[in-house]
Amino acid sequence: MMKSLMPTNTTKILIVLGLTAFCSICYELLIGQAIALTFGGTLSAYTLTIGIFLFSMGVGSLVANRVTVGFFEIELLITILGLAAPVLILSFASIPEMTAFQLFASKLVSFGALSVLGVLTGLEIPIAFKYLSGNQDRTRAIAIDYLGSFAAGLVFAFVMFPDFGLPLSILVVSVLNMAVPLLIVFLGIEKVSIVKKAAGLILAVIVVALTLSHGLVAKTLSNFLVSAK
Amino acid sequence: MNNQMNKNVLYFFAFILAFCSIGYEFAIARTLAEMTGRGSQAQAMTIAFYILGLGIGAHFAQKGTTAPLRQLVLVETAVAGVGAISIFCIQILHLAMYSLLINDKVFLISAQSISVIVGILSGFELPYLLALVRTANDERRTNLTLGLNYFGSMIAAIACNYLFFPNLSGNQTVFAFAILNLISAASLLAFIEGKKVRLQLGVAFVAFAMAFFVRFIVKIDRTYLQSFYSMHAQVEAGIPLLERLESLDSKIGVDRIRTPYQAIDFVKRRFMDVKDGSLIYVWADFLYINGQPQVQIGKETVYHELMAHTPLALTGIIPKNVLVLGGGDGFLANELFRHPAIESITLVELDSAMVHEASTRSLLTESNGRVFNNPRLRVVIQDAYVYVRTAQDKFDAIYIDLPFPFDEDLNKLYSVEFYSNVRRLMKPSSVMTLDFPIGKSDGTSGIIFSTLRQAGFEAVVGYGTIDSFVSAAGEDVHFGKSTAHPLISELSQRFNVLRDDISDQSEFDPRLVNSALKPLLVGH
Repeated sequence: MMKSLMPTNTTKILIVLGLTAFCSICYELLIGQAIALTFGGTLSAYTLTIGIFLFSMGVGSLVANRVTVGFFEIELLITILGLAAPVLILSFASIPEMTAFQLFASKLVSFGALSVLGVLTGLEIPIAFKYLSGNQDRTRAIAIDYLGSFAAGLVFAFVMFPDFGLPLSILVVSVLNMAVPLLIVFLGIEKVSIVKKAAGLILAVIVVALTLSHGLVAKTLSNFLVSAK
Repeated sequence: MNNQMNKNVLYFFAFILAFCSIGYEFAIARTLAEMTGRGSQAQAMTIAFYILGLGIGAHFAQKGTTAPLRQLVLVETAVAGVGAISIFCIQILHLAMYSLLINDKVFLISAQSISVIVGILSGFELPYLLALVRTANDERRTNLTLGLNYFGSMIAAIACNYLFFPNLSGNQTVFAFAILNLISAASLLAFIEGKKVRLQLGVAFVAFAMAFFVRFIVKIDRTYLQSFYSMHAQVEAGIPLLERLESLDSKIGVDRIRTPYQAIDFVKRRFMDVKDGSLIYVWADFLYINGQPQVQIGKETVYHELMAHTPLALTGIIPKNVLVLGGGDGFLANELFRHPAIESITLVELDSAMVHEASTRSLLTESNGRVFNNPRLRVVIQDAYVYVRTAQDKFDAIYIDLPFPFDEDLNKLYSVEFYSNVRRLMKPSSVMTLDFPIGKSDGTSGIIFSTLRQAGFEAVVGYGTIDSFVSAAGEDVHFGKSTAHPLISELSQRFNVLRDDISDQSEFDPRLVNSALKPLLVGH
């Protein structure tokens, strides 16, 4: 008898998890770069970004069993925030003569956005675990998560940032992350209402449109970094 | 011991084991950054290969968790062993590859074999811990373990950068983690299986022996640095490989200062010089940052004379207010103060440790004229990239004395956004100068000239052969080859030669504009 070509439920989850792990590390590096460009001090910016992101992921893991939101909604939120956060952070660079309060507030908002993204990322594995009952499958999920992160670290440092630049990288990662909620629907991992599906589709169109006009996005972000005064 | 207490102990270990494991990774990344000067690439590659190792380890862990406690203790002991010697292995590899003139990128990739091994062993931890804490379908325990694992990584990130790295060498850092690792492994047995007293004592003894060994690490680090700089001196002098290996110089003096940003080395080594027409070896002092040569102390005057005075000689500008970005050694500021007209110099330096050394270390104060005691010098400790965006003052002359952009961190200081902000701090009659190797045929000159033109500088010139510089200004400033200048007449011989060397760089290629958002200079 011919073996079915349809992926098993475990395989579907593993595909999605590999993609989410890839995007998570990319978001972390993109935001670290945006924070360094806005507030300066690359090393401390990266340290704080990694530290806060990991801390938030920990919070996400801890509260995961109290969260009732589905995988689809979480991935939709990550796509929105992953796209908006680095742009928002870079926009703070355009504020001339920041007062101490403005500087504090803009850092608070920047690291706040990073924390929310970290919490949402931290929810991913525990939620995926709900669909994986066996010990072996869960261990495999952790391994896939690590492999996705490995690929992201290399691709970001040696392809994305040097060849695409920061603006296009933000958009490409958004497109990849947008594929996750779409895969959740198409692979039938979760049942999603028609309204949420429509919201996902609209977001996908916006992300693709922005990616196609990446030159304009790059120009806008570059202008943020040049003082107007 | 009751079951709940055991679980609580395991949660604590989920935290502490993650703290140690990622600590090795951070220490490896930092060491590689110090060795090559390629900070971003070292960080990105090390975290990526470490995570790859974690994935492989986790994959193999699923093959069997028959006795997870015993397996976890075994893995922790192995992680401690490999982690403790990881930096030493990297030092040996670095010396071997440096002596064979193998480039930094190949070394960075080769060194990742250590990251992968540490990663593989660490990858076993989480599955074993999960197997220990989890009873059937107990999601809360799983999530708590994952959460505490992340917390451990976060605390390690902060502790490494603010506590360990500024105070300890890479070898000392991994030893500290290894000792903690071994104590954790012994404690794990003590709490969960209270009977294994002999094993606990054994591990405690090894940990104690390692703590005792820490004092020898200082010697290992000193030997590595002496060997590296000896090799560097011989490579610089063109000595063949076999002779290089035979004549490593143990008399070389290296004083390393660790800061949150970099490793600053003051090196006393032999240097090939010309005396009475013949080549001789002389002892000389050098300043290195992350293994990259910055300046020969005592011989820096020629370089800084060219940088400080040439733009003024070419434009006729006599500046009152000057901005120096970088130059924390004080040499350039000292040279600039030879102009009596200069009323104030604002020096912006990222690393306060550099300014501290330049103000207090006699080797530097003898050469920089104790410039940091000059009341006309104002020091700002800030990232120059942020300073030029936020400052409101206007300057008559701006000097940019920063390290070459080996990686993305430094690339932003050579970007169109940076130069646009620098231009904002200039008057229509001001001039800006930076040091840059314009003679190289790797395309970087075209990038720097096009970037400056895109930033709005109408006039851009390059000059110098061994030490080369680029000056740029607005349309009100004209670079001429015969402008008279009071100080230049004192230095006429040198500058007359230089004047034949000046090239106008007005070509512009929009594809060669370097942006902070898309680096073009990295990797050259």
